[in-house]
Amino acid sequence: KLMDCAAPRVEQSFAEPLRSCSWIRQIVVRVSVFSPIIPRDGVQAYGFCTRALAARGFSTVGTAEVSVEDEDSSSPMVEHPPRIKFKRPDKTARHIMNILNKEAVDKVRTERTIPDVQPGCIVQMRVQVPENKRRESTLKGIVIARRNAGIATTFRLRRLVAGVGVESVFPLYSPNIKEIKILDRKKVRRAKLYYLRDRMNALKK
Amino acid sequence: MGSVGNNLYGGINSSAETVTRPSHCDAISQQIRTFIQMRTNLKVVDNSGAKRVMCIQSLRGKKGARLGDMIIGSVKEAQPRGKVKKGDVVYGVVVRAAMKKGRSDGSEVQFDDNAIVIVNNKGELIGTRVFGPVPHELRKKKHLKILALAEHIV
Repeated sequence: KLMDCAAPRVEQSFAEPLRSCSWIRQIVVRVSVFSPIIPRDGVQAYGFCTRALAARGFSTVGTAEVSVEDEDSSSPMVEHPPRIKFKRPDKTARHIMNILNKEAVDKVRTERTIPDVQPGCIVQMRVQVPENKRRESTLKGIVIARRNAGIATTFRLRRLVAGVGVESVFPLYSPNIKEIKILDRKKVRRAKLYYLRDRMNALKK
Repeated sequence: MGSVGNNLYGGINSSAETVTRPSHCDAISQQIRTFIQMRTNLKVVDNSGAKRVMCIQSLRGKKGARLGDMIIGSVKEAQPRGKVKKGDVVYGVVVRAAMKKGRSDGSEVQFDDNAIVIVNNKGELIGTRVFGPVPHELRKKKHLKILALAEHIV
């Protein structure tokens, strides 16, 4: 859809996106500057293009320069497939972080499969600890909590090590976690199993 | 209130593997775990002779010691024939802390109890064996002897 709308306008508007791209490279993006563009042109498709660029560039200006460069290198309007529809850009700006999070999670999920760890799972995982040891260790324990936060989703593993209880929090999408294998799933009636800190025999039920 | 305090102390004295605690202690056992500061009771996990040490000074941090830090403690309970006796002032390295310690990869680790091994003021171990797990953080703090003697490195 973007390509269809954009194709007729390529000549006129080719200069504009390039200029707006240079805008994006600057540190401060003034959103108010872009809003006059839309009523001035009256063409939704063109506004769509610049907005798509502006919204993408605007969100990642501090952090990932990569996506901005990505947009600039390819022909601005045509090639980049619109993954998300920007119907109202000012509303989109509010959940840009949501969109970025989802993209990051999808990227990790396509690279390796991560099973669904829920509280109550008994899990065995192979972790590579960066603490000066390039050796993989195997950890086995029960998941007692899971906190969903996009790419920073963490789960809490409780295990008995040499007679002492140890709880560790791991980011689910961490590249240090080489493999997660679910050994067993216990039926639990809550999301956070902190009561297990007092009662280790409750696990065996 | 006094009875609950005594109950907790009795709970701490027993080993970490005991399972049952009275149910009215649940609210207190879920408290936020914080630093190791003055008057904190710690378990001693080497064979230097001491059993429990009370921290009298944390040598690092304004708020208290964390995992891997050194403290000064007073021995409160000791085995009859050991290298240290009751009432001694000793240095110790915290090897297990109930307060979580973050790692550089975003993970965190916390133990179920607070434990130290007794060292001298240079950082050399007094005992010859270390019991229980120790964390990786000790490598960065250059307590390699403790890591070498440990049963399990977390």
